[in-house]
Amino acid sequence: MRYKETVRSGGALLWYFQRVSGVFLAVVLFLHVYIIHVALKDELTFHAIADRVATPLWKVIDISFLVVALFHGLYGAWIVFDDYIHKPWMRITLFAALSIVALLALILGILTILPFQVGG
Amino acid sequence: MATITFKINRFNPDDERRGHFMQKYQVEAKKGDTILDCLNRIKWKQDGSLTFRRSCRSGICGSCAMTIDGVNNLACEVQVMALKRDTITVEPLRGYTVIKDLVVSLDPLVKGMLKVKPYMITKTPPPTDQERLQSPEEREKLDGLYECILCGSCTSSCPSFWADKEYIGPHAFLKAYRFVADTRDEAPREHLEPLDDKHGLWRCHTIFNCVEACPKDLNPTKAISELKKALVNDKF
Amino acid sequence: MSTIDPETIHDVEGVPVHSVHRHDVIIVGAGLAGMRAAVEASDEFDVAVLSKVFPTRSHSGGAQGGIAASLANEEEDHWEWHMFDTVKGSDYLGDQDAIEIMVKEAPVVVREFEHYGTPFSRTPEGRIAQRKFGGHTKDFGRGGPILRACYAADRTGHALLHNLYEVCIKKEVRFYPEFYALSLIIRDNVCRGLVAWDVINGGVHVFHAKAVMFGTGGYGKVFEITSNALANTGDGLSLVLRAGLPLEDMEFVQFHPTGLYLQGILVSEAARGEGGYIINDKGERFMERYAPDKMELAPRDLVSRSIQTEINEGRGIGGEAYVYCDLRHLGEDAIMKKLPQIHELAWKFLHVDCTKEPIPIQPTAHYSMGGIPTNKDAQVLADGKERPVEGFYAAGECACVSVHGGNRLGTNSLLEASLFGRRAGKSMVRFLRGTREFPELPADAAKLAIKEIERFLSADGGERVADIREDLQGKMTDECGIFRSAEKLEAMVKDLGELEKRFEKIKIDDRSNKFNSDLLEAIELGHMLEFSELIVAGALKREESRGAHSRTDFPKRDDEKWLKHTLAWKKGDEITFDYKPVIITRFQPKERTY
Repeated sequence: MRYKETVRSGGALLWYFQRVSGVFLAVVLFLHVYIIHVALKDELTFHAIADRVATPLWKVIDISFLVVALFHGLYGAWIVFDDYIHKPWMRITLFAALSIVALLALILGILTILPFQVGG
Repeated sequence: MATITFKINRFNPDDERRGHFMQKYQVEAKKGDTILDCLNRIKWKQDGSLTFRRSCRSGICGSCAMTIDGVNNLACEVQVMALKRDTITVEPLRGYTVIKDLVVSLDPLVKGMLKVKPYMITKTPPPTDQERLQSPEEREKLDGLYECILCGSCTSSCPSFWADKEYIGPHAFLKAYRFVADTRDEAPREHLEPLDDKHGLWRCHTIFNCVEACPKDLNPTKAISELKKALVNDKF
Repeated sequence: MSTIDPETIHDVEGVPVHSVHRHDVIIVGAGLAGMRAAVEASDEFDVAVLSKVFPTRSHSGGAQGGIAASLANEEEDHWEWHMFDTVKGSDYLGDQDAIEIMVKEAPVVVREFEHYGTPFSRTPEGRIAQRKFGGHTKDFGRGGPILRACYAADRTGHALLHNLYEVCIKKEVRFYPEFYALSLIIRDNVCRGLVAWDVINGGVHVFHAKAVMFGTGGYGKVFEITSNALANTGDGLSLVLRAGLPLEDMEFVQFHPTGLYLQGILVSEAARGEGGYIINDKGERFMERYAPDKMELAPRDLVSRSIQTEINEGRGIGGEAYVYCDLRHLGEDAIMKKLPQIHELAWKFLHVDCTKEPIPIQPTAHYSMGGIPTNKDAQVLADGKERPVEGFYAAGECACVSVHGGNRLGTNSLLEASLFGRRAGKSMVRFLRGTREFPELPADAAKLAIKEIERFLSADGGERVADIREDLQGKMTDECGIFRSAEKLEAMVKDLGELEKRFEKIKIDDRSNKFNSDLLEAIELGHMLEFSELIVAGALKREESRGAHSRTDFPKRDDEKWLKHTLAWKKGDEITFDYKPVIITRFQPKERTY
């Protein structure tokens, strides 16, 4: 029953997740700025950052940051298209374009985050 | 007394080639005159072909909603002198199909409303020889909801409606919430579910134009956010 | 559109087949009476409602104060008390059998509205809240004002009207919004449908029906200062006249004491019910001279006459034609909570903040007690007395049952409209259960209507419709208004003759078919001129003062000669009269003091 309703949703859950992801992004962004510019005792260097990013916890945080930010931004863009673009072919094209952007950005992001190693 | 120039956006369905055009009329207006008084004076004394809807002239029937100097309002409720202008522009409500001059088609208004099951739904039979009980506090929740006169000003001002003519519209959301908020209604879900739709609640981006436009000072945007909350709560 | 059986469809000359519609019931007017009847009949039958405006634009929505019913939610009350007040208020001209039905069924009707979802205001116990209203008293007039008017803030009519529209949507009633009735099709005393004009697209349509009901509203618009909507031009009444049927008690027009100065827009009686004062230029609560007991809560006709007398005798504010309605002593909280709409109206239409300043008011034409004679089952009476027209019903302000007699009490109008609308619905259901066939539709059914449209669309004289209408309204107010006399009324008869001559020479600016409101205003003026003759002639004949009908040359009520209803027909230019006795059951006529 519940499953069926979720499937039938006309956007309730997406709308809700957009709000939750917004809050999440605000928190992580604040954390990001705080850790780099305030909490860091040493000099701000590539190594200092790289050491931190190399820890598994930070990898998880940064990858979820990436995923959520991509969802939030691109879904937001899609809402705008959804409002104003009504021609089916145009909608499909734009949706495909957004999906490709999402995919490429995701791969690029993950490829950037993963290789950092402790002491490397 | 002052001479006011009315610039009226006109359209004659029998002369579609000409399309919409602006026509100017001069009206002598005195303190206390409303826009509707002036429009009537034009129609009655100068040009009988000027067409607009009007009935109660006391702000309760909702017939004479139009765009006055860029703002949606009831013509019968706007004091000419309060606008403090020599030239006043009057146009039909935006977003709707114009039938003639200031008269627009109300079809989208009705269509949107029909989608939300705009009536009280009860499952249990009412008590015999008695009313259903409702405390004054529960009744107070309907204030600001049941006063809607279906003039169409809100939906006409809504960018989401401009972009999507199938959009249910703030007037219908307000109506839906009037029943969702009513303690006597036993099936709020039936009003809510049609809103979870491609043309439904999620098209509202809290732009607040509807609140600005409402001549009865109602707040459809607040009703919409309450509905969004209710729908999400219903999903979890 | 209903399905049309090709074998039984009748051709109507001049009307294309797709413009001939067929429904079991056609209701004209989407106010309280019309929609309540539709709700009642639509469970079993195919009902369509025609309205010259979109349904929720109907003027029932303008009613503010309440709907009367002896629910006794707030204090002891009995239908007998309500009946006494209504009879006394009517100046004993109301038919007591009909009044008894109304006051007995009132609680049922009001509770039904609650069950439908009307957002009534509530008592602390959660019941429907009730307030005081003029003329409604305790203990057969011996006690003080009673809490009897059930209300939804001061938007009761709005709440009821929109609620009924919602129920109609639920019951899938078919609406034809912005269709304007042009003529009735009655042959051999059987109503067969009606002809109407499609306002939006233009074009004559025929509606073929087994039963037709009129809930077409009142005729207040023939007066200059009126609380009525611009649409309240009494069209239904002259359609009935043109069909050769009589009208009843047309001379009784109620003037409401508190209209906004010059606009006529209504300040609800709730203002006085909640304790507002009426004061003159000298700052006196002058009602103590006219109705020392009930003061401002005396019935409307009396308060209106008192205000008009003050104005006529130079005690209007600054000598002008208005007095003050003062609410300030009630306090801002009470005003904003119980009378928000009055505050809004005074502010928007006069720029007066009634929490800080008194509101300038003057009497305003408000309600037509007279109308289409019907029996208790809302059947229209062909002879005005007993014989009904088959398949023709009427209820609400356009009808005259008569429960209001010479003067209607506040909050009895919403009650009458919905209650007799409901009875009309039930009555039509009974009739339809025994009627399988549609009556035959005459081929020339639309002939007169088409002629009327053609005549107006080509009208090319020199007279503006609005000028004639303004003169009519001004003269009716002066010569047939609150105070009447033989001299004034005879002048009015002459004036009407001249206005009608001018009407023959009107011109129309708009000659198109689509949304031609210029055309509609011309047709409406024709109706107004026609039934105004009956108001004036009836008033001239009735040589007494009773209820809202006040003759300065006959200042006393005359029960010996005039305890009877006027019936009037129009045949050609002639008006013929007949009278019928008032039905008196429980309460014998007494002097009416407050």
